[in-house]
Amino acid sequence: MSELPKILHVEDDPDIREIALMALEVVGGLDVDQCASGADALERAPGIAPGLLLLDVMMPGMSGDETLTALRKMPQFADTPAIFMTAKAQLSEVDRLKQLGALDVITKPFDPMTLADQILKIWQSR
Amino acid sequence: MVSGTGKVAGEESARRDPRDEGGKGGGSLLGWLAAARGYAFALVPLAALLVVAGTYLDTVRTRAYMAEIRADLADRMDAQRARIEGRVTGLSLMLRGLEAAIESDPELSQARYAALARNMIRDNPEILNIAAAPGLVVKYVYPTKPNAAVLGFNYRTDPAQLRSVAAARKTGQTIMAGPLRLLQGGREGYIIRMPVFLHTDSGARGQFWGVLSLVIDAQTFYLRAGLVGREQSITYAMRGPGGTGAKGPVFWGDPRIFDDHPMLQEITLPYGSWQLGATPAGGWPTSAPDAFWVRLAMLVAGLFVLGSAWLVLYLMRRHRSAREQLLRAIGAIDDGFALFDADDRLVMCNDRYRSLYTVSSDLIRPGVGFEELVREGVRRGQYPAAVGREEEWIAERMAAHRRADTMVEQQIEDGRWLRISERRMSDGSTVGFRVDVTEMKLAKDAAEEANRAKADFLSVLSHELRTPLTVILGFARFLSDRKSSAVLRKMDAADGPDSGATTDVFDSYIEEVGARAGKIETAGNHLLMLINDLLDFSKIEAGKLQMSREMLPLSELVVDVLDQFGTQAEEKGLVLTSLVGDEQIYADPIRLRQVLLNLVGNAIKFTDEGSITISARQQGDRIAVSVEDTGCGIPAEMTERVFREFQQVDNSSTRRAGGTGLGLAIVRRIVELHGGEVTLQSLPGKGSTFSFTIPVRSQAGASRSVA
Repeated sequence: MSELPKILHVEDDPDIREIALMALEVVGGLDVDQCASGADALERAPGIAPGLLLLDVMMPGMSGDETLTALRKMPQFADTPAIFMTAKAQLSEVDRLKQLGALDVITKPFDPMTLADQILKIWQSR
Repeated sequence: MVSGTGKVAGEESARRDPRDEGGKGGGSLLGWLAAARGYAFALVPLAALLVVAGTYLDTVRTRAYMAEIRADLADRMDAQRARIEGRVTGLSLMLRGLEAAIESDPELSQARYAALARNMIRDNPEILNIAAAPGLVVKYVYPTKPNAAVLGFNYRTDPAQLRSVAAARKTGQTIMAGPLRLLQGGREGYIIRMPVFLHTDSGARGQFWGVLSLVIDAQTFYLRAGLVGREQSITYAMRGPGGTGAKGPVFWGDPRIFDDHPMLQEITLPYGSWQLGATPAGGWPTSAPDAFWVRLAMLVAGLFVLGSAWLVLYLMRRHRSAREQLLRAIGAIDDGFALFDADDRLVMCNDRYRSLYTVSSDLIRPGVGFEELVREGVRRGQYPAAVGREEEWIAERMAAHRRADTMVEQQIEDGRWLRISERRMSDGSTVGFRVDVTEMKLAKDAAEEANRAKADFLSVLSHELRTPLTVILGFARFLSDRKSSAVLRKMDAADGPDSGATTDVFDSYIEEVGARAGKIETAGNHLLMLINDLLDFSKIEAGKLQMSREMLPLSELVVDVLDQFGTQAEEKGLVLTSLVGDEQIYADPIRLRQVLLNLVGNAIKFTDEGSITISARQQGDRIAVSVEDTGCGIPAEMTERVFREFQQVDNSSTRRAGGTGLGLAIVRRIVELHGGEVTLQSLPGKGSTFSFTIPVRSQAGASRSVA
């Protein structure tokens, strides 16, 4: 699993944050930092310096795609790979998010036992 | 609009005579007669004209015939007159010969006289005798025997005879007296008297010698003159005895002839004349002998002309009646109707058409060009869609009009929607309908909007449901997996799994928790499946399901789906088999997979023992895929119901197997969106076979998406 860089996970729901953290850190053994909002992420991202962004889409205040657009304006994140997580499962939504420059979209609910594998596969097929 | 009250522009809707039902009368005689009565205004003058013309022709013809008859009569009468004159002249000339003999020998011997007279009589049987009376006393007579009594007769003793003798002497002319009753035998006859003068040497008339008399038998004379004795087509009569001409009485023939418009000719005598009158035998004809047939022919011709005229009128009226009926029908149509000719000029339209286009109704009149109507309508703001892109809109409208094979919807200035259908006819003209579809359109828009709103709502709802499900499923997964708990991992690391009694109790508790978490997970997954079905179904309903078709190897997809159900089938002891070969199928991979998952999932759900088999085969221009099970089967009366949304075979099966009742409805919709269909064959207790067909890739459609 070490081939994956440090991941910044942005998610407003604390329970889902916990599940994701367990899935990625405990089950997957990955290096993960988490933020509770887009604003939080913009503030802390430079300090965390992640190599992969994992963004929830529907968040209060700043949505996942707005957050990505804002991060892309920072030179160090202009090309950082991003994966969205969303409960909106429509194909049209998936297409829209991919057009924003995301590697892929993972639909919720996800299986915490295989989430890390899923991300690795997406990373490898990048 | 009330039926029948509509009027059609561009046509004078002629008032129809209510009595005239000729058009409707059709073949019945009464109908025809009624129709003929309706045409009296035209047929009576025509009949009168024909009668006048016929009468005129007949008169002209009769006159010509009469003229012909008269001319013919005149010719033959001329011949007759000539014959009579010839006889008289011939007889007179014979007397001249005798006169010459007497002049040369005034003291003629009896023998010489007899010789001369015999010659004369021999050739002229009408002559009874020839007498010569020098000094008015009869000295010679031939033939002598029956006339001997005449010898010595002195004319001076008979005043009646003396008068004519005196007249002859006085005028020096030969006189033909008679007809008169002759002394000899009481017969009727004529006497030609010639005065004889002895000439002087110088040739001048000299001393009166006497009189020569030629006594003629009238009947023989008439016979010799051709007046009697032969078939006569002409009846003659003569008047003017003694040469008195027209003034004299009728002396021969039927006196009535002179009262019957006879043709008249003068018969010139040596002195004076007779008048010959003639009419055709049997009187003048009133008409030509063939007049009956000619008149009959004219009558037939006249009737033919009248009949033809009637037929023409009848057909014209029928034509007009049919045309009016058509116009009334067009006027009564509740939709706008307009007809444009091959030059795109308005031929006719109904009131409804005009009332739909109130803004430009003043322009809508026969002869106006279609483009002019459109342009002026645009200028007056009749078409909201044209505002701001007038020329472009006009060009599009004209193009659609010229194609004249499409249906377009058009909004007009008062907000109403019109559906326009235009069709080109074989003569190049264009017929157009305008149907007010405002209500339909509003209802459709509202329904579409409601569907969209429902889909949006379900989409949001599904998102809102998925978020807590993520938490439920996530934690349940960890609860049932001992290794994923940091606490348990530490405890296991410190003590080992089997380190004491307290720990055993704890372990069994953890196991119980794990088992219950597993149930939470199963229920959560089921709930997620229901949410997915609902969302799919609402998307299909709202027409939002997107499909992206491509050529797929069917076999791979089937094997993948069967693998997914492997564990489940093994648990129930079912055999899963794929008989699919190398068929390629043109479909959306995600949706086709969904169809197979649904069908195989159902089959496993309702089959307790036996097998489930998937097979495929080419069927014409389609691929047919079948999922066959050995399950409980579906009663025949249920086979259609299972494809309807929210329908299941029965409540007990719903309880046993769960489900929304949307699975097969979604399968059917997806297959239909691919252009195929789903069928079910089932025997209760034996099993069911669900089959669906998907058309092979057509040349036209590369992909089909429903927006």
